[in-house]
Amino acid sequence: MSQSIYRTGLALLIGFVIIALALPYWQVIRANDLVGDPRYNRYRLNEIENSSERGRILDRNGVVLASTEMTPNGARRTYSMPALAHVTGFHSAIFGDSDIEKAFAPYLQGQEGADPFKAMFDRLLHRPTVGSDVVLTIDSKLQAVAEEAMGSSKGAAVVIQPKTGEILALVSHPYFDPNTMEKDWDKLKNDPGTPMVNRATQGLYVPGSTFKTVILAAALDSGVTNPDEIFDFKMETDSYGRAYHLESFNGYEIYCANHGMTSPGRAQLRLADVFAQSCNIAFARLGVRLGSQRLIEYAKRFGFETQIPLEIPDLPSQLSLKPGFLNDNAAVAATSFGQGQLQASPLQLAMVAATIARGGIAPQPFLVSEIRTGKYSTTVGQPKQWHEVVSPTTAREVADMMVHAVDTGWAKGAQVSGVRVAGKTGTAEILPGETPHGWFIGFAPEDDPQVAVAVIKEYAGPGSTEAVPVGKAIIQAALGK
Amino acid sequence: MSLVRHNELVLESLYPAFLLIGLLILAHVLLFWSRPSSDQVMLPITGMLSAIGLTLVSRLAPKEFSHQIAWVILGFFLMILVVLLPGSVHWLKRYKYTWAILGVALITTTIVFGVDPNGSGERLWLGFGDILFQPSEVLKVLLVVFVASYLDDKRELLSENAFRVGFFKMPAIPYIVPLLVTWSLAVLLLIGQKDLGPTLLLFGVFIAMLYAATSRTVYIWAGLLLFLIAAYGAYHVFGHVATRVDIWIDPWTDAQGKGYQLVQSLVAFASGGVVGTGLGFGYPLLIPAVYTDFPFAAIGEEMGLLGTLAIVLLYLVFTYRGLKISLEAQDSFEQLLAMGLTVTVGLQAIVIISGNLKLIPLTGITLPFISYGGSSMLTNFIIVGLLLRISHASERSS
Repeated sequence: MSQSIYRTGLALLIGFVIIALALPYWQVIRANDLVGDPRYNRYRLNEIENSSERGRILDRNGVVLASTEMTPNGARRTYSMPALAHVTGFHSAIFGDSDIEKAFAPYLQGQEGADPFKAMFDRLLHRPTVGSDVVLTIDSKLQAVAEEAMGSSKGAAVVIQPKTGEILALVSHPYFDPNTMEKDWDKLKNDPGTPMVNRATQGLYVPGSTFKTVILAAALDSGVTNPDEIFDFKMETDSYGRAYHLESFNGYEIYCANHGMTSPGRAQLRLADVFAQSCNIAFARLGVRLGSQRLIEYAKRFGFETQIPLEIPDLPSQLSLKPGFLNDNAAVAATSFGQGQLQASPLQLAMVAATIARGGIAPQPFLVSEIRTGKYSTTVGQPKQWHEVVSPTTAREVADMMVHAVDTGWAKGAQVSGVRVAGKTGTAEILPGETPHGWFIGFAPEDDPQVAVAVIKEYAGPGSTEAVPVGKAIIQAALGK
Repeated sequence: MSLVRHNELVLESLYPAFLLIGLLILAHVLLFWSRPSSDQVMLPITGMLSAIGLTLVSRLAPKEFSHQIAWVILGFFLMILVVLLPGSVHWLKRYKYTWAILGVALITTTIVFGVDPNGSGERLWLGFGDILFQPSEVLKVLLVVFVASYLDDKRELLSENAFRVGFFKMPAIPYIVPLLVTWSLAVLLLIGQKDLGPTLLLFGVFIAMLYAATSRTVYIWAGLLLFLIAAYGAYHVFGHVATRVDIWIDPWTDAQGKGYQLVQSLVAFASGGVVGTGLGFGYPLLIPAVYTDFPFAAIGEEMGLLGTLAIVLLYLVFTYRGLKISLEAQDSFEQLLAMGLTVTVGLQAIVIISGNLKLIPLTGITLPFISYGGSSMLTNFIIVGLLLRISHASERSS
């Protein structure tokens, strides 16, 4: 009988052990997602909400972007600049939090603060918590300018201080009003214009000719070309008397019309000119010389195929949709002038401009600079290198050619008197018959960069007429011109 | 609790604590004086668990606190009485059929006159005027005493195989009969109360005792099969049981409706984290019927993982000491009795805690010594009294 009593004891022990394992599962492992889910925990979240004052979100100059008022009906969160909805995000008892409201919730709610000891003691003594303020790198004035310049177009603009990586403005059009989103939720979710999607960090677009900046930097850095190289084209004329050049890459024919020639013969252009004129054939040649291996390697160094570290959600830009796509020279040629299967976010292309501006080293972008609790403050984000991309010499050469593109090429519209502006336009073809996306990337002043931008207008037309004016307005405002 | 509520310490608020400490000292002194060689761990654990229970009731249902402390005091005295009664526990064996008849009578009256005071769909109570009484609590002690007596009488037939059916060695008829009878009783209880919990508990205890007496695993499988048949039947016959099982499988999709109670229980556990919010600083009252069905979730929220693990450990030590008493008991009757009583408490804790944690479907049984409820409190104290007595007798003889 003793043995069977032992065994019964063992069976009960197993029961207790299973319980002892289930407890940490619910109390630790699943704790955060259950507690934070308003579908299951609305009451507690409301209680926490109403028992503490949520911290504010401020811009770099202290302008209040989000704040909480205590009303008789409970706490009410208000947003002074709905255009920043994709940065601040929303804070909702029904739909949860998003973006900065989500990423910095422990600080805003006061569980964590600039003064960690105070936060700990408050918790221990069950004192009502006071949320900390979150200070952004965003400049609300610059944001307003970028906003206005975009007009009613769909698209996005990203403005980075290239030396530090601070994001000064982040436009995503259309946006939603976080003050009324709870009420409008269904309408916003079903809106074909997708106002809830942050196009600046999560919108993936064909980059078009702006990607030539990546190929140019890669080709110079790896030594497959140099700034003195002259490109030769044998021009022919069509029935209308227009000069053109046709070149085949592994069966893929690329047509180029604009080389300043009107009659048949030999056209010779410097590297800076093929960049300024955005010659597809020249860049296809450079890409093939690089080969898919180096092309992929350099693009990855610029940030393609990786998640760019940021406080709010962003999507990695892609070099190809299908693996192995770039094994074919025709694909390499198409990719080299910004088509192929390329998909890039506006944030990624702003990072390309910022990397060239910073002398070949990619800065790490960030949106939150500090946390303030009363008189204490802690620095959260500070200037950091993300990684080295190309040599300083290469960066200087690319920067010069970007200035050349603004001085003489398609990006002429971005000229600002008295400032050396560097830039590159892009006109991304989507499907035959569809209006292309207009792109502009650039930075200024070339000798002491203060601002780097990427602008896209969806289905708006050529970059030179659609995106360049927006870029110019942003650069002017950022430099105070 | 008063510190939390009024932000200051009032002397009066400490009276219940003094009272409980006094009771424990009294019980200890009486135990030491009358049964010096009895188990020394059981009483502190019982005291600890009932103190936690009282604290929790004063936190969750302050109005019921005076009732609960009255039950605890009464429980302590009953326990002392059981320990002090002269003679040996063997007199229980003499009246075994009385207990069995009493048990059957209890079940039948519950089925006929049972009431459902909180509208949960389970008729677990018998009402006498204002006092509600939960027969399944008393039933479990009666069953353990009866089964221990019966099995002890038939011990000689223990390992005999009366006949074989195919591959299986079938047990002797004297074992099949009580098995079927108890199963029928349990099923009857299930029909009467429409709740799987007490059935699972009673049947589990019975099978464990049968296995202990015969050392034959066939009873475990047979018992399991019979239980599954009963459970399957209940699932299809009683909407109430089916609902509980469905909620258990997926509480999330109807988190605001049927699944509300269980989801709130799990969220309460999650809110507690490792150290808990502190007594009085959580929101365990969001769980409907928290102080009867979900006290463990309230502990999880306000005392955290450390608190819940500590309580699991208390039940584990209780079970360990109880089985130790059983192993060291003088004769097979005391051994079976001690084992059955221990398994009753241990299994009950496992079943209700597992229900709270979504390991098994929720059932309407109490957390021993902690849940609010008089019948369960008194029964559990009687169990401790019996265990202490058996432990004393065995120590003295060895």
